[in-house]
Formats: sequence, structure tokens, C-alpha cells
Amino acid sequence: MLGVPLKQGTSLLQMNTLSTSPDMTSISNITFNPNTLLKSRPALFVAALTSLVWLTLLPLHTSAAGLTMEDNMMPLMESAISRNINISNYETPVEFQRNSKFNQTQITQPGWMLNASAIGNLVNVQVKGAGNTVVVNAVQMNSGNQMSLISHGSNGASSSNKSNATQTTNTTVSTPGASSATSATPGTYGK
Amino acid sequence: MHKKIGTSSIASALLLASASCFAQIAPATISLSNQINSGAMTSVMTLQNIVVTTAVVGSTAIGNAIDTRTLETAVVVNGAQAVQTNSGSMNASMMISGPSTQFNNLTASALSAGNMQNYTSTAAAGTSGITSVTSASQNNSGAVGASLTWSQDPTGNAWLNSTALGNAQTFSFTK
Repeated sequence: MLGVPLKQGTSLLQMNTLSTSPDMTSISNITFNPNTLLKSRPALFVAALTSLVWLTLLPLHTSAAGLTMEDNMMPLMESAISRNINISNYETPVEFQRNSKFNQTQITQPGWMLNASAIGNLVNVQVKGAGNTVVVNAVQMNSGNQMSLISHGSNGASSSNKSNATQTTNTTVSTPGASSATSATPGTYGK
Repeated sequence: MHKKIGTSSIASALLLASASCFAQIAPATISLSNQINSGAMTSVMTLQNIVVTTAVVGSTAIGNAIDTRTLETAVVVNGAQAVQTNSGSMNASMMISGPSTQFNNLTASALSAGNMQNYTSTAAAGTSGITSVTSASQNNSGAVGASLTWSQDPTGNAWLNSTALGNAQTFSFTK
């Protein structure tokens, strides 16, 4: 499993399973006599026993519910959030992505923004400065129809943005004009 | 047709029946000629089978447009006076289609307006007072439509905006 890039969105639990399952398979295939090994090579016996205990407890640890970033496996899980990080990077210390107060900021893509507007008459006045008085005499008459349309024309491929798109697409805003709509805006504006 | 564009693309289709004017006068007293449009305006942009990383595209149809900008020194200013009349139908449409169409970041807009006026006034620093503006009289009786349709979902970010305006006036005063 070394060198396999992690895909974005892979859950933390899955990633740990991937990294440990090959080792578990190899250990389960090993057969040895503890008494013989202890007498002949005591150092090797201690090393084998330590590895066996550690690898037995690791799956229980990773499958525990409520696994948090503050767990002692945090460097491993922090790397799962990042993109393009291989497990082989553990040959070197993993860069810690949280500050000294364990805060982390993640910036995500804004996704889709759709806007459809139809306006019969519009007057927009902006005043900057101080002590100003602005008087605008505006006469607007509209009797036409205004139609604004944003629509999706096919089924399209499924994607993470699809649900949001279907909720907001096919938006039609129509403002039929009155026979004689008049908007006169004499106003006084000041700062 | 299959096009591949590099990292950035800006495309626009603009139809404008009549436009006047750009003025910079001090002190500002502006007289504008009246504008009458009765023709039909249609602006269409179709993007088909295109691969773009970042694109800004727009389709715009405007019957009458006035854009005035003044640099004022007088305290009281009588600004633009004009009559805008539009009876034609304005239609701006944009369609994105094709099985191999790909947009990683897309900003698309369709804008249609019968009459439009922009008035921007900037006074010298430190001055203040009264600004009186008699704006253009706008009369629209035509149909105004703006549509933006697509058959292929853009990937990544997408900003889609469709706007239809019968009469629109925007004023910006800075002193």
C-alpha cells in the first residue's frame, strides 16, 4: 500500500484500514513456537511479541467510534485531509497542519451561484462623500414584458454540485409590464 | 467544431441600437439628443463542444444607452436630459451545449435592456453642495428577454447571471 495516493474525500477510517490491512495479512500467515524462539533468540522473541501486540491493538483503535483529530493518531489523519499526499510520505515527519491552539482553516470552493432577475424600471443612486444633497428627477414608463431565464437543458452527469444545481436552476422570473407604469423618483439623498 | 482554449477566455456578444454619449464637462451642463429605437435586437452566443479552463462570456442586447461622466466644479449642476424610447423587442441569449463541452470555471451572463442610462459625477476634493439632475425620460414598450441555458454542467465554479431590464438608470455621485 505504500505509495498509493489518497483520493480527496476518502474517509479517515478507510485510509487507516488501507494502510494496516496488508501488514495484518502478512502477520497472520506467520507461525512460530514461542518457547523455542525465547530460548534460542530472546531479542527476536521480544521484538516479535511487541509487533504482534501492537498490530493486534491497532485495528481496535482505528475502528473506535468518535475518532477525533485530537487523538494520538492525529498526524496520520491530518494528512488524509490534504490532497496529493502519499502514505510513503511517512518516511519523513508529517507536516502538522494545525496551529499551536489546534485550530485549522479550510477554504472550499464556492460552487455555483445562479441569479435571474427581471426588472421593469430601475433607478439606482449612490452618493459618496459628506454634506451632499442630490436630487434626481427620473421619469420611467414601461409597458413591455421582461423575462429572465436560467435553465438546465439536459439530465447531465451526476456530480457533487448536481443537487444544488437542480434546486436552483430552471428559474424563471417574469415581470409583465403594466399598461402604463410610471416611476418618478424625485428624491433627496445626503450624507 | 472542437476548440481548446488555454487558461483564460473572454468572449462577448454585444448588440447596441444607439448610444450617446460620453461627456466630460466642467461645470457640467449636458444636453443629450433623444433616442428612439423600434427595431428588434437579438444577441446570441452559442458555445458548443469547447474545452476551457477559465471563461468569462456574455451576451448583451440594449435598445438605447446613455453613459455620461462629469467632472464638476459647480455646486449645483443640471445634468443629463434626454428621452429614451424603445418599442422593439430585446433578446439576449447564451447557450452552452455539446457532449465534449468542459468548463472548469465559468462566469456567464446574459443581459438585455430596453433603455439604460449611467450617470457618473465626480467633484473636486473637498467640495460639497447640491446636485440636481434631471435624468433621461425612459419609455419602454418592447419585450425584453434574457436567457442562459446549458446542457453540460460546468465543473468547478460557475457564476451564471441572467438579467432583463425594461428601463434602468444608475447614478453615482462622489464629492
